[in-house]
Amino acid sequence: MATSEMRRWLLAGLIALTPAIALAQSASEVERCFQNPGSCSSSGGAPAPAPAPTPAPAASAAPAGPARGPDYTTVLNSPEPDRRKLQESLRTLDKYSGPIDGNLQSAATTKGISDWQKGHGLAATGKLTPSEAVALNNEATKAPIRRLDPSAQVASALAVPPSNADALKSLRARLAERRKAAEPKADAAAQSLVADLKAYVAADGKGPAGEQFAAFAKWYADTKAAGRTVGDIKPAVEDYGDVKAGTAATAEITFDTKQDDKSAAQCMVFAWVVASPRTNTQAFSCDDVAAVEKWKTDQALRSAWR
Amino acid sequence: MTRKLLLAALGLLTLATGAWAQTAAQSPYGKVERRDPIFLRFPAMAERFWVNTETMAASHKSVAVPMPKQCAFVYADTYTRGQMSEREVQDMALSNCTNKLNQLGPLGENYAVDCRCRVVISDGVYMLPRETLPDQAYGPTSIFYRDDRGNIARLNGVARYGALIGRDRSVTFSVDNPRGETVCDGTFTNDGPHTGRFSLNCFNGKFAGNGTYESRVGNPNDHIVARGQTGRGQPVTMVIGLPSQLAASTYGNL
Repeated sequence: MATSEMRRWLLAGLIALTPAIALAQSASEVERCFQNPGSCSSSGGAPAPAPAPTPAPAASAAPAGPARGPDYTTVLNSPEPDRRKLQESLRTLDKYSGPIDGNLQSAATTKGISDWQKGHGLAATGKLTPSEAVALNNEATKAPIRRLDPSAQVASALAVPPSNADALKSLRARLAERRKAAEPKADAAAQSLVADLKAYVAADGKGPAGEQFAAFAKWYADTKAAGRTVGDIKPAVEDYGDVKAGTAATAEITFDTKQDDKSAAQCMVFAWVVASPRTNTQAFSCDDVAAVEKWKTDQALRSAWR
Repeated sequence: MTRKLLLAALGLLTLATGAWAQTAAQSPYGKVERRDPIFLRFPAMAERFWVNTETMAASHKSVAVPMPKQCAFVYADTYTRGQMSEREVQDMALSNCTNKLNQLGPLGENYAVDCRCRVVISDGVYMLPRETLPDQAYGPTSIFYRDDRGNIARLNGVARYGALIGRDRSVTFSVDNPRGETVCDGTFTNDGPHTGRFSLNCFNGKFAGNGTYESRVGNPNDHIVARGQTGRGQPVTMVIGLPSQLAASTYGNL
């Protein structure tokens, strides 16, 4: 009794597992299903390697007599699933991007059929004979998964003009030109600051940099107290432009600090009005973007950098 | 004759309206509200727009996102700096948004539509009809799956979900292929603010997996990476928020 019950459970388990065995599991099947879910929608089965719907035997494509033209009605009157399948095949072959509705006489579908026919040296009628339908479905079944060439993608993305292209282009050009003009002066201002910062470090905490930027002097004192030494100092202009009092600059300065064998980069934003000596000076943590922006707003900075 | 004159006058009026379309004061699309979907979608932007005293009080504020709405997975918000005009703030938002998109890489494998940045908010009003704006969260999505022979499937499309992953306990999502056909759905259930579990079900259950997810904030873009297995133990990874090539180069090696 126990054995027969166990068998029953085993059988039930096998039945329950059956759909799992039919799941889409190969990478190519999964890709095909993703690109063409219609071909995988039928219940239970693995995603269709898509046998041709064969609306009619190929032989029926042959004209019955000299007076009769090609047989288009067979395919047009074929069952809806077969007509949908043909649209899916066109789609797989990248000839059609419209809805899968079984309408083989829609403009998009007939164009897709014509394109496919042209590609095979057939008369581009926009309608399919039964043999053409079979060939189309067979070709789609064998078609490899189409992947877009990444390099072509990048190229096409770069070629795509941005939205309101002209306005944006001219804006960018204007900004680039303005920045280029400002670059020598902005760089000189940043380098001059770095020279002062280095002098301050070399003098172990003495010099105009510390007097002008109290936050930097405090940071240096804290760094020194923590047993860290300051190494290389690198600038990057953060913003530059006209202000009420002349010209202002903000620069992001990276300090390499060392303690024993461990080195760490620390960052501060320095803001000042370019003058000799610098005025309206302030230094911020690099994270404090809002404070930097507030300083610029207070100075009414008209950026020539961004 | 009168009819022709009337038509001409109407035409002139239309042209004049178009010329001022970029001015927020003229927008017919209504004021923005704190609880609008676009602010729920981008909480950091909402913080700057509504809370941060430095930015919320700016004389001009603009937000640009890629449109149509399923493309809106990045944004750029800009606030007056110095003496900038409303138009300059809009231009900057637009430029920043476009730069972000370009930096992230091509979207052609995820979207069939052309995603382009548009200014959607300026000075507290919408610049586009509300019905065209994102009403859910959307993001480019890639699913990577390695079968038992070592072949890797790369499935690229768009994910959409109606709530905030990480904030709501459970969030359902769906994945559309580039043709806009819904092919997968699933659920994120959060265990913490940035981590949780996910389940994925595609092609009416013919392909499924589950595992854990993690939401990552910041560079190159906010995104979610979900890693798990199919029922047969094969690895599957889903990435939401990065274009296909970036997702593949970052997470594509299963």
